[in-house]
Amino acid sequence: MNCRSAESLFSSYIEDEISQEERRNVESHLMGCRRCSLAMREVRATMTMLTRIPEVEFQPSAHFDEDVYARIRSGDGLRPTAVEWLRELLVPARLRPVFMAGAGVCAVAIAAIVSPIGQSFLHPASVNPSIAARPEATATESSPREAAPGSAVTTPSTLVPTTSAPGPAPRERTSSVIAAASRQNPVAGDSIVDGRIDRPRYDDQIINDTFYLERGSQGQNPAIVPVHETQGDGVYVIF
Amino acid sequence: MPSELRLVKKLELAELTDEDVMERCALGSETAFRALVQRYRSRIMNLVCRFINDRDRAEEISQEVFLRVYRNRERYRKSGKFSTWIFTIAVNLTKNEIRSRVRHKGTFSLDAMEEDSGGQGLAFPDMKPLPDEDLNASEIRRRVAEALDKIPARYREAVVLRDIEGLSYEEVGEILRIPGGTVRSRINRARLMLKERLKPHLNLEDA
Repeated sequence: MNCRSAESLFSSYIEDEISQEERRNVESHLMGCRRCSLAMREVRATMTMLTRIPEVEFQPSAHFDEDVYARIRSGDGLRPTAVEWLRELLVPARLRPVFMAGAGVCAVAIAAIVSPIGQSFLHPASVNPSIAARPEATATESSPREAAPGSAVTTPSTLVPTTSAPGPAPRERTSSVIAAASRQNPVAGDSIVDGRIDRPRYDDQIINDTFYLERGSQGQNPAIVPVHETQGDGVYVIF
Repeated sequence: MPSELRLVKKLELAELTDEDVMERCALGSETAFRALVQRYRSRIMNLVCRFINDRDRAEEISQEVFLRVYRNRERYRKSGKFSTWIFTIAVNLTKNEIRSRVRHKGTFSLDAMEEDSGGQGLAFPDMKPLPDEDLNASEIRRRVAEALDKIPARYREAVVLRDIEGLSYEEVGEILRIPGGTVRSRINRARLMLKERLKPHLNLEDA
């Protein structure tokens, strides 16, 4: 093992995330290389120094929380960005109706083009007598060919799935300013707003800074009872 | 015992894991969202502050992180760690900020931000001693900040998440969207660069 290879394994060696074979190789190299041996100690000391950096150095301002809630209430920042909007559009579940509609239209268009009627529209001068002289039985098997071009286009419209109606609206929540803002600004990807997932919602109510009610939803298990029956902030879960 | 009486156990919101609180938030609990803001505001603020040289802007970005959490609360999947999710949002928003600044300056790489900083310090803009902090600790912070300021952004973000935020290699990889091998090599490389810059101040007795 050369110095470069040993150096690339310093962190893994120190953090003991290295195979036995690699460990033996590194140790063998360190025994004969004073430069790498010193470098290894320096990396250890650097890591110790970094861990002495406090996780929290900068305190957010005193109005940080209120600013966040105010921005939610105002709807600022709740509207999806262009990138998020595009990503939403590309979600397969959402794309499926578009694909189906497109596939349906394409299928009809191709069928219309390859049919004798379509061919006669495309090539009016080259009338194929063999097609014109086809037996009636064959014609009945391919009844769509007899349809007018207009009806051929309109028929597959039933294949296009209609946009599903929105699901049940979220339950009314009491005195919740954030929730009120949320209802006013239905966001992209909100599965409840979109009706894709009908999930139970908590029905909580902030009384003051310390106490709140969290009633839970109907049929929810475990049930949650009001906090005013308790001492202190929290919820009661009945098992 | 009457049948309607059942054993009741009190669960404080503070006792719940981040993932449980986030799940309540996803189900519409406003209180749970408030709890998450209280739990994470300082960590997010510090993470963002370590990457941009603007404390006020860092606070705005940190608030934006929580708006994104609120906006996307129903997309959160409990199978993933909440801290990884929110750190990913914070890192991505911070990268966007850096990109926008670089674009504004007419440069082409994130690392060019270091040149733009003019040595004023990108990672730790405010080096005032913390309360109850001795002078030596304050000096260590300043030295480390200067060293972090001088290494390329891709190495800095990896080593900050690992050695200062204390995340696992897997979490760092998930947040930065890079494979495990790249995470390890970036962190190792960052430490090698930092030790060169911190060499005069290292205490080898720590090693």
